Amino acid sequence: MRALVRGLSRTASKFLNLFFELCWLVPIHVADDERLVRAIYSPYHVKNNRLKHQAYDPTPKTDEVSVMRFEHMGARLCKRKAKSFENPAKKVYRGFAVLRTDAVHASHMEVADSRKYYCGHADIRFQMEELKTLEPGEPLEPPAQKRLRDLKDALLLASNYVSDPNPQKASWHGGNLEPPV
Amino acid sequence: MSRSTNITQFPQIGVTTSIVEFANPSLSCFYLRPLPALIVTSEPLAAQATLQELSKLKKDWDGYGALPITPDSCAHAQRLLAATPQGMTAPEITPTSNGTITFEWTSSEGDALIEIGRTRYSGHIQPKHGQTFYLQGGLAVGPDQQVATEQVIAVIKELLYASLGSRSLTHSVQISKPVF
Repeated sequence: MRALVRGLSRTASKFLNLFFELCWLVPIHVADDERLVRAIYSPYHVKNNRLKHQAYDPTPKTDEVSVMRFEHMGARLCKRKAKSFENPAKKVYRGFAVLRTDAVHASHMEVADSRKYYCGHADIRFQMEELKTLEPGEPLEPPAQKRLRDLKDALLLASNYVSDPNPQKASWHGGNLEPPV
Repeated sequence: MSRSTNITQFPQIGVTTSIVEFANPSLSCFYLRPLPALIVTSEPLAAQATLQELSKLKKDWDGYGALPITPDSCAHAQRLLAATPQGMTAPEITPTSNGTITFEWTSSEGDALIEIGRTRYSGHIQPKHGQTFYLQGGLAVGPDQQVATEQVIAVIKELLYASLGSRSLTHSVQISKPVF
């Protein structure tokens, strides 16, 4: 019964978000069973149809990686957002990396809703203070750099890359957006 | 106790080899003191072209707010690339969201990463078996610095590509803590 209610609520929140950009039914808490998707752009996120660790590079001056809450956005809205950040000359939308929240927690990272950007936006937090104070254009100290690389590798392991067979179309026609089994 | 290892290159090419000594293997980081060494340079055109492309990246090139790659980082990366010796594959070159450039090598012996910034580099070597080696240093322009960065490449070559070719010793390089 509880699962049914949650399912209905997620479906309703997805439609409100898609058609009216309303966040009323999207909970602040990101549940363990929620799927998170990260938009993937070529050429720097994928190589030979495989994700590279650069796909999970944190946003500068933060220890965060932007993701979308799939249960509350749906494939169509996720794709619309992904394509809105596309730059045909330099970064071409290619598909999504999908992972589940509990896999992120298992690798000692956090997931937090960040709807200030748009409804359904969330951040994976590496929980590395060094990243927040990192000088632009300079690398991390070696041990911190190794730690970040290990965390990004953990995200790669927890992710399933699903390429979009029709990137130009508005709707999603690719495979199931499911994390690895 | 010190640990030493030798850097080798293909004898048929007739190039110089080096010894690299880890002054203290228990150190989490080690530093290079520049000493003269001969490194045969190569210029993989594809890698150079990649670097030129990176220098053109604008702000937010990854769609997630990435910083542009600085001209200094590109210049340092080109120098490092030119120091890649024979017997070593060209690195995979990738920009990072913080405006730096990473060089990555992968072989059957392990993998290595060097991130090149405006004024310094940082990296690590992870052999398949054994401890992680951390690398870091400044990137000022000058002959001493050139030698130091060449030695970093030599260490990577030794640890990742040592099984390629036979070994011969003609030169030695000490690695020790820097004197500031």
